[in-house]
Amino acid sequence: MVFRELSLPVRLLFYLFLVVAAVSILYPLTWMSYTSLKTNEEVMFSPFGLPTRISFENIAEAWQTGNFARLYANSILIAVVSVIGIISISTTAAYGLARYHFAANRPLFLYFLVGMAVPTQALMVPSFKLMAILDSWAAALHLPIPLLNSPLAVILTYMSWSSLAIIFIRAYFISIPPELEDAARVDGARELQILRHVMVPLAMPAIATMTIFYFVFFWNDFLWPLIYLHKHTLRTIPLGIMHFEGKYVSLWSLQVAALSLAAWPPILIYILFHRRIQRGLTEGALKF
Amino acid sequence: MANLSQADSALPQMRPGRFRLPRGEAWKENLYGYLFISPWILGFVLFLAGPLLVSLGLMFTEYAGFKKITYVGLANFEELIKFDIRFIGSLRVSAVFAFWTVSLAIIISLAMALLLNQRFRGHTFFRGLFYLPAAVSGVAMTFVWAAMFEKDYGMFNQILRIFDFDRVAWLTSIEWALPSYIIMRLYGVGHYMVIMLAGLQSIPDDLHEAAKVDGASGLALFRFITLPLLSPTIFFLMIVGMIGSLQVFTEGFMLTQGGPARSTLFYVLYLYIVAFTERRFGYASVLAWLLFLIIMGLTLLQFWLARRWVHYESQEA
Repeated sequence: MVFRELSLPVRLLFYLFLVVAAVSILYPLTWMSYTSLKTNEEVMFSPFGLPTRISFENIAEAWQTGNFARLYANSILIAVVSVIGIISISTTAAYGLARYHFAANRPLFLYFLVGMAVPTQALMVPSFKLMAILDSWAAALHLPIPLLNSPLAVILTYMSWSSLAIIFIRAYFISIPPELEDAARVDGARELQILRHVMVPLAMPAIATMTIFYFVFFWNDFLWPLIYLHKHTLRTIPLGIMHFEGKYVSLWSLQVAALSLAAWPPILIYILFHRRIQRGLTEGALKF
Repeated sequence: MANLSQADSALPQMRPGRFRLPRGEAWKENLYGYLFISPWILGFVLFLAGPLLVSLGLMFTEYAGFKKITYVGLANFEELIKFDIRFIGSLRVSAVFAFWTVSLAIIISLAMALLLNQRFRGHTFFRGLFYLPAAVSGVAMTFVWAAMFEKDYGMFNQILRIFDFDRVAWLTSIEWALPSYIIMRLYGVGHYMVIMLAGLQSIPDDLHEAAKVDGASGLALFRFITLPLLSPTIFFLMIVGMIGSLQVFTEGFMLTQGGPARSTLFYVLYLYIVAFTERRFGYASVLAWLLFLIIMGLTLLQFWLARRWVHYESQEA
């Protein structure tokens, strides 16, 4: 079926369907965005109408009362450190698995594939407990690494979920011809130097896809900060939003402004990187 | 992007490349291999495999998270099988939710992908747009949806009023609460669509051309060429979607906490309540392991079923 061969009414119907779908997808997001730019009076009189005049008063107030500077700092800290950790661990491990024939290579790889199927929620209880135990050990040894009520607990847990990145990056490494490494080896490069200066630049598309994927995932994750972080100064954006919405139930406009503050960073990341995200998804699915 | 296991990667078919150090330096190869994977192994054992094993042991205990831990034998399992109504209910809620979200998402995304596979002006724009909700799902979107579902001013009831229907108490009525969550989840259908579209685009054009020359109708083309060649993609989406929707937690925790009358008590939500509200870590471990086994079992079952209906092109050669 070639689109241009269709009759005009069919083509119009087709576009009509697409536009309806597009509007229903965009409506919740645009509603959220423009409502957060309305004044309180306008929200009162027409809760779903467009703003007549743009006002940042609710955004500013939500930022203040919700302590969004703190929330952003906490979320960025956890997401950035976890992503850096998980990507470095996965890249080295993927290289080891892709290029070296050691006895445990194959069984380990299969074993950790199974690891990917573990629903992480099944680990809530023992992980929580484990952090408490490690924390008491650290305290007994006078080590300054708190794990109870500490972003470090969230980061360590996230960093153990590397199976996906390893599988993804390993497949990419394998597709790179080994001659390049051999050349570098002849020139006297060490194994780690080869990884850093030859392989990582070549595998950048795979590494970048995983970086964006994990970042958005960690940014949006709600369960693990909920389990580990019980002080309000440590809250990430999802946790902060939850408490904020509970506290200002009657202040509709303020609530929506807070939602906008939380939702826009991942939207911007998506708009900036959507080609790469979609290509990454596609590559992963087609290898199945 | 709710969960890692929802993520879209899978088994690569390739084997590791041959290593090129001179012969007789096999020990070096072993050494480097193990050195490179050691940080990963350490993290994995400590924070994933370790907790998994701990919870295996916890299944036979009663434990509130403090000093005292009591061995209770099989009592937790007995309770699960004989007495726990909430467990049965939550299993049912999650199963119904997973069934409807996955099947509807696959049908809708297939239809959207078939449309977007046409070459028309602006198809890349629409593709990007339809994926957008999947990228922003999370706590904030959940609250936006709560506003849409609101009884008096919410968008859904406003639309119903235009068509003269009665108001629906979306999230607060027993009949409509679970369907509301299904609708909410289907907002992220663009994620399925992108993958479905990639599957469609990997079908070579000449197959369709050849069938058309032989006089096949549009419907026959779809039934005998598009659908079989798309079956690996559909299969992939079924597994990923099922795993993801059985693990749903955040939305239910924030909006209804399982209510009204436990009609939205998702399995993982129940697991969380048992563990962290009631602080029954032993019993929660039983629930957690059961979830793990259910997901593994369903995945294996689908792999087994897939041999009957999934068509892999390489099998033909």
